Amino acid sequence: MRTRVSHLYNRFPMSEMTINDLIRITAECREQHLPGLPDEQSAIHYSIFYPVNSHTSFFSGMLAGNNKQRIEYKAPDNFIVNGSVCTKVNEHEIVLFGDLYYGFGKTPGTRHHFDGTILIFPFQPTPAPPPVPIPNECTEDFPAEITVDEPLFPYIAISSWNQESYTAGTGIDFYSYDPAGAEPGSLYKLLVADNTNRQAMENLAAIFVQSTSYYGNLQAVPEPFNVFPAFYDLLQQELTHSVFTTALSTYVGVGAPDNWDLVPDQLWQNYFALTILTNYNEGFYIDISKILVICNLLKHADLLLSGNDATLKTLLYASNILPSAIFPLPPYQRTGTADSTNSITPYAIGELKMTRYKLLRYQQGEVARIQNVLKGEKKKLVNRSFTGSREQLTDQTVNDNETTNDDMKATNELTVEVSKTIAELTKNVTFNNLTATYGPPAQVILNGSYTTTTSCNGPLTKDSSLFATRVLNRTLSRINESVLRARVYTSYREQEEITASVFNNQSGTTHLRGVYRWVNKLYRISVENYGNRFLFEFRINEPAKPFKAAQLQLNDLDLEKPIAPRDKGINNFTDITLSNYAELFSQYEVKQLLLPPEDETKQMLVWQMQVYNAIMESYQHTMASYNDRLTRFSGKNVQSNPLLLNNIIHSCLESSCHNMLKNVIFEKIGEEAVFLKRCDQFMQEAFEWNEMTYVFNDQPSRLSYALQGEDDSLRPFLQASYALVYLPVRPAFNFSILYFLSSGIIAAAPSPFVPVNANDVLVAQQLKRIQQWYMKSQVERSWVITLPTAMQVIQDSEALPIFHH
Amino acid sequence: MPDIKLNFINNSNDKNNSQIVIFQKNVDSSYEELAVAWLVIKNCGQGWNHPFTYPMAMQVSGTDSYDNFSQKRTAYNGDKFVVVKDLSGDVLQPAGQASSPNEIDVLNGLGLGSVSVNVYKDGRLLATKTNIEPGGKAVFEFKPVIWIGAVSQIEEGELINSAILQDLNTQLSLFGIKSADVVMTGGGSGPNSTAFQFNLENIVYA
Repeated sequence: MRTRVSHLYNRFPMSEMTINDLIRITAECREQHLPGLPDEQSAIHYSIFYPVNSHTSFFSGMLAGNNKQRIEYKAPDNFIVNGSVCTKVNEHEIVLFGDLYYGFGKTPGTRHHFDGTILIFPFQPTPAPPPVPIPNECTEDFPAEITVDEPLFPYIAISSWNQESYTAGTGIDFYSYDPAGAEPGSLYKLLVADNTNRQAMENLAAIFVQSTSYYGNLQAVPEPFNVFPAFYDLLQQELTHSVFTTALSTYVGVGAPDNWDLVPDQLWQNYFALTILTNYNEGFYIDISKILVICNLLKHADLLLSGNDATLKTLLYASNILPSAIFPLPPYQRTGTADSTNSITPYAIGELKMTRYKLLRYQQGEVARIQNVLKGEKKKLVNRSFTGSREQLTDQTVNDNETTNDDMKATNELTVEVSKTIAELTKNVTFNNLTATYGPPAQVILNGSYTTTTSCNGPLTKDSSLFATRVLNRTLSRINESVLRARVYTSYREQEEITASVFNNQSGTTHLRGVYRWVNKLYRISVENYGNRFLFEFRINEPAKPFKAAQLQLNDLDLEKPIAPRDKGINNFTDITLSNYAELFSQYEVKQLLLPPEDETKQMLVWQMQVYNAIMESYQHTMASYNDRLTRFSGKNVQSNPLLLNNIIHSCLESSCHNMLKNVIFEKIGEEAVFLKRCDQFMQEAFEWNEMTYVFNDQPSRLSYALQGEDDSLRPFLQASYALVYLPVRPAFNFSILYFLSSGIIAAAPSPFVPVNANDVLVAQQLKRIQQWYMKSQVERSWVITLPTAMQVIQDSEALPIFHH
Repeated sequence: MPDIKLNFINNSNDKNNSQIVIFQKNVDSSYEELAVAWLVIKNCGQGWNHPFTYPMAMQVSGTDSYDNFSQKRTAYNGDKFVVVKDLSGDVLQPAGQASSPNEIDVLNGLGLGSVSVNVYKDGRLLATKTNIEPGGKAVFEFKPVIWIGAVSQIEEGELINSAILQDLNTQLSLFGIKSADVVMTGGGSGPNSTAFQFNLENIVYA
């Protein structure tokens, strides 16, 4: 048996196969519309030729899905081919399988038998086979024992957003209520009549569930509708057409039931009431949903005649479109206004892919340098590395003492004159018998007489000399002493590294050569596909605002970028005026006191210039402090842990997204919403927060995410005016999130029973197109990259390397 | 590509304790080249099964005219080997890529003396080419198809007689298969006896 393709093992599409040089089978896989199926299917068109080089096939056929075709042929020369070919479809490919007996023997036992795979057509190209290992690269100095296999970054490969229009009733992915069948006075009519007042609508629903029209449980639902949930469960377990046909007669019977027109409409009213009163009776709500699905399925029974399991599956999982006249309910009358600057929009459906890197090995790269030692030469290489540092600390104390000598000498001229005057007249009084006692009381008794004599003498020389000279010598001692006390601390560190290499080829007969090679690291980068995801785009204005507020409150750290003077209209010194200088001083915290001059001429210009310089200096100082605060998180020339920075940004954005989602409740329902308690848990489960990606509007460069990023700082985050966050939804919550965003309600029912509002039908239809959301992680592409390092290694051989390409 | 896990199940009516031989045919074989019995299943009674593995990897070894045997070297499709004489003696070493990515080439790079080349799969001899002259090349290309039949008195690793080879007419394509059962039916005696049939069942695709 021979095949005429290049690679047998990597499953690129094969077109031809020869069996035992006797039969040739050609096949082609085409996407085409098959009867009864809405979408294109893969179908194999095959032809069988005998003899091998015949141009006319003796049998041709087409197979799709899991189907079989009998083959019976007898050639004119009595060569017989009989057996069967079949196709088997799995998630990756469609396989043409054969079980053929061929030959000239009259019985199968005497003919050749071929059993097995003929051809495989993958649905998407499979990766190329691993490269053949080049033996030369196996002799490495570095063993490949180090395993570094880490995720690098996730990204979402977004497929184009298919803007096709949907007309209700044309597809089988959805079903909806036909208002033409609504009776006057039914809940539907009442709700439509009063569809601007949410409270009134809820009251109507509450009244309905108290009435006799409300079934309340499955047992109260008339036959055969009350067994439809069991019918649904059975189909869900075993979704094949044969099971459907068998169960149909069991559960439904032959022909449409008599109450076919009445009961479904009543069930719809029950459904509307329970949709409004979320969480009221979740179990019955799910049962009604199942009944309505089966009713819709039975309506399209003609499509199921072809026996196509895919149609059955589509109908079974069809979603309910709520009537736009009622749903979504209007919000309560609210007093406040919601923040409408931020927005959440469905972005796209994309494939979630993770880029991983794995260190394969180290490899010798280009030649770094070559060391030559000639024959008979002795070479000594000394490599000296010297590092010295000196640290000196000087402590100086100065003491100041001031001494002042103050001499004052009085002249004796005045005293001479005084003494002369005193000397001219002396009056003496003499008392006889004067007694004094000190008592008490003190008494002085004069029992005699007194005489008074007056004499005039000139002063004595001795006395005058005493009065004559009075020298007042006042010394105020203040000692001026300057003491310089200096304390010097010197620290000196010296480090010397000497590497001496001696190449002694004195006794050698040939020249020696040492070839130094750069060491490169080889990484294998692979892209793994995790499956499809529904992406939402969150636009967050001022994403760093909560973070800055938190830093200010908790750490007293002001991360607001200082406003430059030119942003306040101060472009040059002439912009400083009497009216604005005080405010500028206060804003820029200028310490100097510069009052304006009284004279408004030349002095004014000088003052303006001084003020302007002071403001600029203060602004630069403030900017330096701001940059310094930023470097605590990261900055250039500072080593930082990118994971820490990513965690900060991630948690801030996550918190902002949470708030935006809670705001949806406020917008859609109003202030009295009761869903906030469940909201946090729902948000946490519904979105894949770990796969969040974001873009800031002034992010410097996308290349900073490369393996060796430089600008890993919070600067883009702190200074961004808005951020776009792309968040994938966990596939099981696709419809729940869609419903939540349009109505503000967290659907109580599980995924297949979440209804769809009319304005979400386009997006819901796109979601239904995706057959498979989760995929077993498979490597899509991988390639090897080489990264240089600063290490060198000496190669074993002297020969210069030859690089093969 | 992972190995293919097969499980032979005897659901036949055979009462002769037939042996089951499994072999492969080299696509690039000369006219007179015979196949080698890769696996022989013996004494597998009714209802019993015999699991075995069909690995993708193969091993090659060479024999020179001095009856020296080389070590077995792992080989994949697209590999080329050469038997050369170096300072130590005759060696079998890799030599780059084969002419086609579907085949394994072994060259005789000796100046003098023929070589024989054996290909092994799962440690059992799969194919052999003898008397390759200096400068000549042995090419092995195997499709993922095994031939199976009921025989007697055949040993593993032996060449299958051409007469027997002609009668072994069932080929099973393992292309794209991860695991499968090889079920033998038929045989037995009496008026209802039918020919042995070998079919693949419970196929799991890779």
